[in-house]
Amino acid sequence: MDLQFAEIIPKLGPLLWGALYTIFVGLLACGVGVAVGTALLLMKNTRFWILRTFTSIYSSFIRGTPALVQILIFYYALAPLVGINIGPFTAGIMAIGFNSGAYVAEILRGGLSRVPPGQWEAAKALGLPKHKIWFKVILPQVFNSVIPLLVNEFTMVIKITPLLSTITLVELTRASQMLYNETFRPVEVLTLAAIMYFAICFSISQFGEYLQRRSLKFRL
Amino acid sequence: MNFDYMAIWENSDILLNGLSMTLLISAITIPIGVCIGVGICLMRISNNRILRWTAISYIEVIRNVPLLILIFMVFYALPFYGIRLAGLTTGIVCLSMYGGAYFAEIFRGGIQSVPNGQFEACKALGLKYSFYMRRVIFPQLLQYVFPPGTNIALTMIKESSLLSMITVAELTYAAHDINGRTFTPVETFAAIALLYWLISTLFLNLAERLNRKLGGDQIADSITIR
Amino acid sequence: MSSTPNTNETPRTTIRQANVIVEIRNMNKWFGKFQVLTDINLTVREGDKIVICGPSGSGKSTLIRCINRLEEHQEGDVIVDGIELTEDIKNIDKIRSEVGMCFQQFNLFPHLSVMENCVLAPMSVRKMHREDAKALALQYLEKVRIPEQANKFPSQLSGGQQQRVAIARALCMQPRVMLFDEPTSALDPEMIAEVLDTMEDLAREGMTMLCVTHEMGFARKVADRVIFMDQGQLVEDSDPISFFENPKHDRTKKFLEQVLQH
Repeated sequence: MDLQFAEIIPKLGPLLWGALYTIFVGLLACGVGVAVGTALLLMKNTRFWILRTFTSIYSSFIRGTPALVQILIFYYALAPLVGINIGPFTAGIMAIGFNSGAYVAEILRGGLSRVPPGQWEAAKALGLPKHKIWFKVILPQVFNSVIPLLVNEFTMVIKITPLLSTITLVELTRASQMLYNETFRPVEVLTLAAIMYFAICFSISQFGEYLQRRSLKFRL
Repeated sequence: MNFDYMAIWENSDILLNGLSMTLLISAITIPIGVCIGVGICLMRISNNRILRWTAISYIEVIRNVPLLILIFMVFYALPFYGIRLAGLTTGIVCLSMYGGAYFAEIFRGGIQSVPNGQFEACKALGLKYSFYMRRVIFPQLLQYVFPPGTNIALTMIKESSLLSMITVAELTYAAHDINGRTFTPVETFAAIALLYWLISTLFLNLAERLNRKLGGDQIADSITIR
Repeated sequence: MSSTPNTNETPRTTIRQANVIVEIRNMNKWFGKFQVLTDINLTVREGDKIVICGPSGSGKSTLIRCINRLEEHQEGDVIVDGIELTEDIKNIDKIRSEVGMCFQQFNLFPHLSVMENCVLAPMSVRKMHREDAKALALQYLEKVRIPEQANKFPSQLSGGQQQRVAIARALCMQPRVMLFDEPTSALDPEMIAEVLDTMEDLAREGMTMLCVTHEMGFARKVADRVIFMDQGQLVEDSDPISFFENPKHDRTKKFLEQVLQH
């Protein structure tokens, strides 16, 4: 069959909007993910046994079930259960955010183990209270050391967003589905969508590698 | 809050069929993925520039394009070129290719972590490439690649849920099926979540036990790629 | 054996009714089954400058780390500035703001500038305003002779400069006693002098100091008490002249023979 890219190009609009929407949703979900991940890290390091167990169970669940199932649960099951009706936008961002959070927590845990114990001692010796030690001394160093890994995690989030097409969010995948259903040209449309995803993810991971090279130069 | 257990119980056969399909898909795709991974890895480290760049392109495409788009391309776009694959076949092809790319990177990392001296000793002894890769490098490799490899395998098991979107009757599809009949999203999705959780916990336990026998590091500590 | 001298015979000091800042009574500490500190009795008065020396593993660092609860003691009393050290967090935090500590590895916060390192604690703990804290910090940075480095980051400074910043940072909390845990052991030889000079200035101004160090020249010059520890016990505690010229115990003699060879 002959490829008719010329036919598609004028209809590129929805695809580009879809791509922007994907990035937008990805950024928000990443933000939620970082917040959740930090919370999990702090919970894992308290002396309250119940919080520590909660984080273990949470991580095990998130990493042991498919992201698609988590999204479906958030959208279809949580509403009847909790009583609040959340739209697909919120449900999608929360679902991906909570998913990403478990992985961010793992990344932060690795970063935490690389903070020298002397930092804890100096902060304690100065009489700083626990919350100040975490937020002013330890966490900044943790985040500094794992920026490339967090950027990589953002790529992962972008690659999960296609699943949101199942809960009616018009991100890039859904936009392309709608377009090839309309034009009967899935080859061209899907190829374009693939190229767009590739461009987004590849640039992000290149940026991450650039950051990694920079962090090696300014070794803290 | 009432849980309609009966809805699940009465349709448990659909669930179990879905579960077996998921397990079947995993059992087929993981070994194929490993083989593809080995092949791509050898291409990736070869001295032939064409082979190397083919491998690099393959890996980068798989890593940067979402699996769902890949699946849609094979399922919806390939028929226009005369290749019409059934849902299950599409799924197996796509998942294996997906796993293959990640396995290739893991194997490459593993080979690089085998000390250079091993290669030099083999060459100095005059051993053939195919011989020493198989008998000297590979056994040492196994210890390094098993933890991350297990993570990829687990990811593949979870990603099989995407096949529900092209009507493959695996576990997630079963949930949609039951939900469509009984309108019990909470129960059905909770049920499959628990089943997936069960599969992954058992899988990780098994893998951890095997890993200990090989003498490697903790699986939980290795970098997780989803 | 330990002694808690009530009088000092050196010409530098006189009998004073100075306040007791640190009091350690019958303190014992174990790491698991292994006893690291045995029967420690120590009184530190305001203005005392004590150097603690001894072979590695003798427990010297552990001892001073018990004073600000970086290590916990299992038996006995540790009383700092009238407050007893127990598990009570409020007490511990209060004590830590009165006790300053300098570490072998400096432990400056790498992501903060020199100024930020210094003002963090006064602002967070003493609730000082930023302007007051910065003025205070500059004052102490001048005292350690590196005010011009205030906006640099630790990675841009030499080892000697970093340690002096660490001293200024501790001083910004205006502690009643300063603990030094081998402050020059991680420094290149040419930088040791600048740090020791700074510590000497501090001593001359009347700061109460406990210093674990191998620098015997410093001990002779600055200390008014030298304590020898071995295998977790306080073996000897006397003024520098008696300590170096006429050590009372054999173990002290042996140690001095080894150390003063260099």
